[in-house]
Amino acid sequence: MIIDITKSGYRKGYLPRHGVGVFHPFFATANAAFRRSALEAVNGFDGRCATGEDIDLCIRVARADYELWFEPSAKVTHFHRSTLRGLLVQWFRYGYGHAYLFRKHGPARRLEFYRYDLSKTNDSPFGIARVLSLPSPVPGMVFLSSYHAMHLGLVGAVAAFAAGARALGWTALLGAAVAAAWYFAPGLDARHPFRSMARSALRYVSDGAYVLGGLLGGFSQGMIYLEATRTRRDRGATAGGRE
Amino acid sequence: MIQTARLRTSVVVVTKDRPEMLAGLLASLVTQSLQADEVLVVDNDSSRSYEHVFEAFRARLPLRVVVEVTPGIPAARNRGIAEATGEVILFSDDDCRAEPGWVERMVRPFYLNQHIGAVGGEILSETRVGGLVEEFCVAETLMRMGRSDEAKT
Repeated sequence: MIIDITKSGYRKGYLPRHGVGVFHPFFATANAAFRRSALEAVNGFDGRCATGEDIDLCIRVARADYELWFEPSAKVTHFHRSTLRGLLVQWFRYGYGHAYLFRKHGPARRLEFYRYDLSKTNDSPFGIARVLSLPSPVPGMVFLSSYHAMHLGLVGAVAAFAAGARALGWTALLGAAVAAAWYFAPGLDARHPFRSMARSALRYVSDGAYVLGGLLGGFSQGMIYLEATRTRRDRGATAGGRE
Repeated sequence: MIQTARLRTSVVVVTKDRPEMLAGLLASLVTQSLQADEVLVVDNDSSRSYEHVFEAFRARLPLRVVVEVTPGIPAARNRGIAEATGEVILFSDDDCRAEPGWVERMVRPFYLNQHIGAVGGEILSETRVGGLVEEFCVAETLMRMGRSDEAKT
């Protein structure tokens, strides 16, 4: 079976040369071409990128005043990884690499909050919007998602019950349940209960690897980095925009 | 501004310890509608031998091979850029296959406008062994494309 993997959010032609934070149009190097003068103008790939060196390169090429052109008729087929370990390692590495990208290209002393915004008025790459940008001694990004809300609610509930604040505990638990429903419900399918549950479980663990990679990558850069987990409501291409 | 001088093209591929996968990519470069002027393989210090693969393709592709001992994809690709002689440098990976019109269609936009610095193409996904993880990747992709009905069947 062959299907489109990444660029469904792009249309043929020139791509926007700006992004929101580090959510920026880019081409995965599985299928990308560069003019030599553009590569020389930006000094090629950044060796400090663990992953995401293709995103970094496209950001710098665009900032050097070159255009990015998407050509969907030029096709390459890529083989997926087929082991769970491979999947988790890959998503961990994506998260880890993105933290460095944010440190490099994001604001130096601000903590920024992002979310998916799929409204028609938002034309940013991958349907992502910046909600808030605060001055902060510890820089970083927090992506507001149901995945993070679910875990925040669970941690909050445990803490509240441990402190004897039962009303607060139940409220936090209810919040976690709502977030969990928001996260899991779209992936579940009554016609294929076991298969869809297995897929949801895979999504949960690969999001977990992604978040963990982002957190550790963030710590290594002296910042807070809470990754953009994927949701079914995401219009974005390229795995929430960043694959 | 329309650029008329012919642009020289180099395909740069980084590989490490996957000679069979690389052979599949090289085979897909043989059958291109527009042959690249140069196919540059950067071997990122493999411990496995690629000699049988290179031997098989040397007569069919303008193949060059360099070894980069610095580990990591960015260093290996930068070595490829330094060694490549093309005005346009195309990248792919050893676990990919190019469709027959790939080189021609990737290069064409660079003639449109000399301010175009990068061109990207479509990436399709092929399952190889089946199983839940591959199926998951495919389903996730379909969902992202808003084709969830297909993902569920």
